[in-house]
Amino acid sequence: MNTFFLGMALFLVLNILAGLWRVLKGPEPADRMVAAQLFGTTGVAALLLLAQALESPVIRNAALLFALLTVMAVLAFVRNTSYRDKHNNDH
Amino acid sequence: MNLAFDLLVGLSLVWVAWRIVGSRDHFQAVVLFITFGLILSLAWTRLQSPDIAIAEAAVGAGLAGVLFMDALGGLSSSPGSPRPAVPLTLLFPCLILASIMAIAVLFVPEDFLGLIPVVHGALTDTSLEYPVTAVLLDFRAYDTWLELGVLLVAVLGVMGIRRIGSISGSRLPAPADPVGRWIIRILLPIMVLIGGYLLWLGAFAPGGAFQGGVVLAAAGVMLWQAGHPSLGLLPRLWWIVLLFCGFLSFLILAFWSLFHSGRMLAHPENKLWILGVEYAATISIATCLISLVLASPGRCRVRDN
Amino acid sequence: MTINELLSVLFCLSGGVFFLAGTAGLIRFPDTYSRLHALTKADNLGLGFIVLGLIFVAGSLPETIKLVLIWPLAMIGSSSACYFIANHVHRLTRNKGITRD
Repeated sequence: MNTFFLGMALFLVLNILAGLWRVLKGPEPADRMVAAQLFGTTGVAALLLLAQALESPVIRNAALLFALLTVMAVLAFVRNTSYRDKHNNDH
Repeated sequence: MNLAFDLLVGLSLVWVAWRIVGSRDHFQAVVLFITFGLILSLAWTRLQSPDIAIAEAAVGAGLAGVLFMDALGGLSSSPGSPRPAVPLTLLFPCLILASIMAIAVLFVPEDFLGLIPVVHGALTDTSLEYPVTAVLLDFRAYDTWLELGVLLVAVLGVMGIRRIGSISGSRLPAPADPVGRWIIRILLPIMVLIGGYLLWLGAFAPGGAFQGGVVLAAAGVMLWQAGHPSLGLLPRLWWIVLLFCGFLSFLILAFWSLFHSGRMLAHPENKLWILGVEYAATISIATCLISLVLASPGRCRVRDN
Repeated sequence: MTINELLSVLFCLSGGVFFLAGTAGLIRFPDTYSRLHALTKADNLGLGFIVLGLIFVAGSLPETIKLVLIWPLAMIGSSSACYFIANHVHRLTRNKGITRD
């Protein structure tokens, strides 16, 4: 049973690695940000599966933190780029 | 299956790290770094180190991304300019270092337990139940003390470079739109709750001052990203008190125990002391991290519409 | 294998299918808006199914509550991140006055 959960976690890590293609390719920063957000949720699922597979429930706290905090990077991204647009338009 | 998972995580860590160094696009490197933190957290989980996995999750998912985005926003060069290539000659010292470390790992005996028996044997000497917290706050308290000092120096360095004396007058993001206000109304109380939960958990399970402090800092930064001054509301004196209280509480403990028991940083039997020091450290860690973000060079005073 | 374990395997596998669909969408979809669609729809269903699958084997009640808490948190974060990115792309294209691929 634990092997099954570990296998599922492995499958999710493979998903993340496949998604890295989008990060490398782009083309826009927004596309890369979408990929980062997807990895965040995939990572939450992988950590939950690992917590079950390794029978260490405290790992669920790490998953909880990822679920809670991944959106912060997106907020910072939008904040910084919206300024740059304005800045470029002024010139 | 275990071996396959470990190999995959290990190899992807090396590959992502190599892509971060080799990337010619700043933004791509930042997103790769966020992904690197995620995979690293999985690796720590596999290594049975939930403390580090939780710390990595809190820092990697929350604050590192924000700091990098702000650093990118503050770059004076135009956004499209490529990063300079890393010289290939750096590869050789790195390879030598990596092989030395690999050899060192190979020479570790298979049944080597390290300091685990020593720490478990000494647990009776302290009022803490969880070995990692006992090491951090009691057995090697001076390490934690000096780490708080490192954080303080980092904040002072940023303030010095930016030539600002406090964070209260620093730039403020535009007020959040309705969706931003909505998620802050939901996520902010949960962040504060989980920060406190992790701090409380540190007494007997993975968690503690650092993890709790980082989550509380994330809550403060979240508030600031929505256009609220956050810690900037505090008078300068109060801000300085919060910034230094962790470092100072260790200092007071050091002197107090020196005069009472003749040994520096020896905790009194009373558990309240050690809790007080831990809580002060949490407040200082959170304040330092919030100050780092608020003083960072990201650009956000104006918002188009 | 008990009935709980069987259900758990079934739900986890369906979650995996949704994650695969999300990743495929991220790679294959032609523009940012549709990639966002792949992210929020497939991904949160995927996490939902995996959480549902793990509840059957979670054991104690507090752990189950924590699992059930994680899913809505990820949904709140992911869906609002989707809104922020979409809003950003929308403003960008409006300011430039061009349609991007």
